[in-house]
Amino acid sequence: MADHPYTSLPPEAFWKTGVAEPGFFGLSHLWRSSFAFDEPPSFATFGSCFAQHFGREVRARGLTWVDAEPAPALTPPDVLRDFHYGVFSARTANIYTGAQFAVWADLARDPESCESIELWPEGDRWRDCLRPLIEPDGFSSADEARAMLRQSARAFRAAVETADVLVFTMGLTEGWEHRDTGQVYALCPGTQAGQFDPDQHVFRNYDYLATRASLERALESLWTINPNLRVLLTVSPVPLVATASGSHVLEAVGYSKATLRAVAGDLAKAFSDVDYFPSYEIIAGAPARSMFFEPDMRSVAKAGVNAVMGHFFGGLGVDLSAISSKSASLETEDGPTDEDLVCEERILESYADG
Amino acid sequence: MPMDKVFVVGDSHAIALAEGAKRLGANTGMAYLSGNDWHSGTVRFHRKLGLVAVGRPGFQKRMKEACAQLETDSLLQGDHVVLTSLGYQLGRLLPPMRRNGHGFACVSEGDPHPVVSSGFVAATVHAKRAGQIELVRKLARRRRVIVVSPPVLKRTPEDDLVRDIIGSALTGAGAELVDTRFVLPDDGVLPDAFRHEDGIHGNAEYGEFILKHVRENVLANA
Repeated sequence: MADHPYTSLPPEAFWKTGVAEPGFFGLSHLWRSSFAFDEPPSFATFGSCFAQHFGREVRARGLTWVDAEPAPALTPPDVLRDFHYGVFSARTANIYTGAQFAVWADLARDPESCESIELWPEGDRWRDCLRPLIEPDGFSSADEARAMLRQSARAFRAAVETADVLVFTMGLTEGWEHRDTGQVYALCPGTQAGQFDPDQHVFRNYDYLATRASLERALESLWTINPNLRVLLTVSPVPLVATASGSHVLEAVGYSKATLRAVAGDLAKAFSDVDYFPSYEIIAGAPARSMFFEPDMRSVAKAGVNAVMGHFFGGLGVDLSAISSKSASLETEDGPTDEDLVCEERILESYADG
Repeated sequence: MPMDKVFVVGDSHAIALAEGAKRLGANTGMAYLSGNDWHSGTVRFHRKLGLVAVGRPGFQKRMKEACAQLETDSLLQGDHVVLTSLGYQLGRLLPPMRRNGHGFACVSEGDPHPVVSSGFVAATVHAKRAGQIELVRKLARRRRVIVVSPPVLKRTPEDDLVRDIIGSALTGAGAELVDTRFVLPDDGVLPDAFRHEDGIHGNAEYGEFILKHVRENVLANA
């Protein structure tokens, strides 16, 4: 029989030996970091709800997680959570789309450009449209809202400057923009803050080309700030809460995740300083048989997060045994659940009953 | 309401208030406990005694002595005026917020880095003072409570904001507030003549000045 490329492939290249026979808990060589580290790297984390797990687990394993916008000392835990401190490496709130990520990267490049970001008045309070829920009651004035946004943009920049690896977890392709200015919004105006105006606010379902263009724009800005930064892209396995695309939400999730997945993979192939980690495949792939989804078939259980992190840290290429772990119970059922995550998108659930 | 009897309870700022009450001829009972203990929630409401401090027998002894002095069994019973300095302990609030170099976005000029929002400051103060505000609420449900804010040593926008937040919470809980910023002369800062030799408290003259204000402007209006 003639030799051909398939005769020399490793077991993980075949479904039978890579997936079917070992089963989910026998999966191996799922991911190996394309980055080589002489020393344990420091991480900055941004993105959708699921991105919060990376920050928490990096800290729990004693690796350096960049907190570029720390809260004052001795802040009560409830206040930390309500004001989104320690959730991401800067107080960006959730960044769901590539378009949002590109805006934040632009702001990091030039924090003074925060002046152009739309503010939403709400009685005598003010919210910025990139993170309208970052503070429970908004800000006391437009000046305060701008000052705090500038600070977060500077913090985002500091995170990029400081980190060895920036982990960005992509969540959605769907978003909203201002028809004339192109202002990207974190939430559809009117759902939780702001006021919806059908003449001004337009729905976007960013396709492959648009998402890739946004990510490339973001990468260019990030590498302008830190040419040595390595970017690890992941796709959140958490389905959309709702779709405004006109499709059934199940189909919309398929489109969204497939698009994000394709962009992430292609960027990882195109740039040596970009890698892709398969969070999505681990949780949503057939081998998991949906066992890591909670009864709502959307939230990811702690055991699923543990599975993702097992593959992540297992393939990172860093000897974690030399680093003092801050948590001895990572493999238990205890610890933060999906309910503990900060997810602005969830507000859309409240509209499910019409 | 007459000021013949005064029950002063609070942190170290209570001492000057009690000295002032005595100077004005009031029969005065006084029980104080370190601000650290008020801050950490050591003091609890007690239905019969009014206040108790867990693990602080010295405070219980002083409460008992104050009751004896005023011929009552409890802070909550009798015809005395209840005057307190609780609720503030600014030394446990502002320095931690500044420790990482944070300023307040709403009051700082020139957008210093980093800053926190006024909403964050309010939430932090409310969280750290919730216990004491609840104490005041429970006391004020049972009798008239007058809170005297600690004297200002150096007026700053940050200090003013935190005092505003606490003052609003105290009055919201039913206390009557004597905000010393608006009682002391000029800019509301503690004058040298009223300053205790330790440099951070008011002296007996200060206490007398404040108690005169209480007698003439607070109790007289009852």
